[in-house]
Amino acid sequence: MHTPLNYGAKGSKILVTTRSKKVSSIMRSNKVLQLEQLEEEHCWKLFAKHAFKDENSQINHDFMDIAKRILTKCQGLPLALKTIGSLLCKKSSLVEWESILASEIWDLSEEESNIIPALMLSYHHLPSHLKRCFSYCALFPKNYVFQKEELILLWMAENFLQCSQQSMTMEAVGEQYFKDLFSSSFFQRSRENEMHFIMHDLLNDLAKYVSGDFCFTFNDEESNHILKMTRHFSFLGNRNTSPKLIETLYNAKGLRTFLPLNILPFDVRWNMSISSTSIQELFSKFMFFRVILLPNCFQLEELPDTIGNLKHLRFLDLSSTCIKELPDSICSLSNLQILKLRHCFY
Amino acid sequence: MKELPVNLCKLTNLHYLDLYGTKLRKMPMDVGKLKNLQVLCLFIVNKGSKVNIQQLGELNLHGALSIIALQNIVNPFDALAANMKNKVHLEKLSLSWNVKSNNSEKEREVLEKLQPSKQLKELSIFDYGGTRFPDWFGDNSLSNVLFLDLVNC
Repeated sequence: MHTPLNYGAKGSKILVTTRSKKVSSIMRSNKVLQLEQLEEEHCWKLFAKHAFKDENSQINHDFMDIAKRILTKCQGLPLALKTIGSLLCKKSSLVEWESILASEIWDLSEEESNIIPALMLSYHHLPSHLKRCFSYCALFPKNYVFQKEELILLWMAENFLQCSQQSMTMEAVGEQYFKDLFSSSFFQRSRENEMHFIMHDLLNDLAKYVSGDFCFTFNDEESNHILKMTRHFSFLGNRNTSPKLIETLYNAKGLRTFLPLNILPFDVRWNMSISSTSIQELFSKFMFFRVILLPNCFQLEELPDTIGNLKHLRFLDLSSTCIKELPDSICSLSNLQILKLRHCFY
Repeated sequence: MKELPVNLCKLTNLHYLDLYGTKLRKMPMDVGKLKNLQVLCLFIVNKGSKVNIQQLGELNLHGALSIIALQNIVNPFDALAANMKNKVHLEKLSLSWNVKSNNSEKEREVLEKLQPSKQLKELSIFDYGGTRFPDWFGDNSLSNVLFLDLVNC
């Protein structure tokens, strides 16, 4: 990491932020600034901004008392204050506030789960349909930038969206779910582009913790194996994919999701290198796929007929592949909701 | 991709069909039967086909739509049946003639009848052969448009 930094103009400074002491010692920095917890007054301001719709209005004494006690439990951590504030904003009765204060989750040992209790508590209070949608984001790597529409399409294809009213489209339901999670501070806008979103990495940890083995992200550096119960699988599509990638999946016969992700900026072209044999296997060895995304897979020239066997398939993305025609069997995928063939220009 | 399977429109659960940037020369028949369709990024006006742009009439499309080969419209009233004016969720619309025709009167009538909804944010028009733009260009129909692109018109 030092090499590219040798070329900076004289007097340039590099600021590295980290939560890990190890990182700061590896950087051999000459000055380490230890960030302290937020001061009480600032804690209150940040908390109140999220917890009360109108910060300036007179706050009832009883609520104030509970709020202060909850605040001390957040230990001056901004993300915790923000998330717990957003949660309390949705609870209007004193009883609800009291039950959040009295929750056992505050006493869960952080060492055990590595999850900040305030965040766990916010998750715990989500309605079950949002729990599902949030924990699914465990598939995203840390600092992954995503678009709202993309995530809503995935939720739709996973059948996470419940249409209670006939008049509401699935897309509108998805919009509402997203809005709810955003207003609960589970997602935040990316600083670079306000159309893009990110998850704080502590919330990413939370998603990974609560989704357990249902979601699995392939990582070359770790030799962890996919389990039989795993349903959703993601990997970094722009990296050189290991030839063993598909083999690692064999154990999870009930796999529903094959999701390559790209951490390059949106306008950078990338190529997913995955062999056509691997793809043939993908279509023939698994029966329960709902989501198969193979964008930018330049090696892909032909789709096997066996795709017609994937009766549950709802989302198929073949954008920017070299496919020249689709097999007729694709017409029997009666559940298919999303078909992307963008820039299939061969 | 030059052609799609004939029976593709049996997939009546389709919500999202993105054919943009493909080499397709014609639309599969009965696209209008995909009643759940919310996003259709590309529509090609087929040559000499009875069922044509009017198929768009029933669809409540969102997002972006690009209509190409508009020179193939024979009767301008078919364009009216596409019901563009009521597609209030459509944000981006692109209209392309591909071949500039000499029949400026007809092309103007076609464009006249493709008047988009007032909610439209981006409008692009390519190779329009009419000698003047329809009246809706001048009134407040485009009051929400942030981006207007007229190429080779």
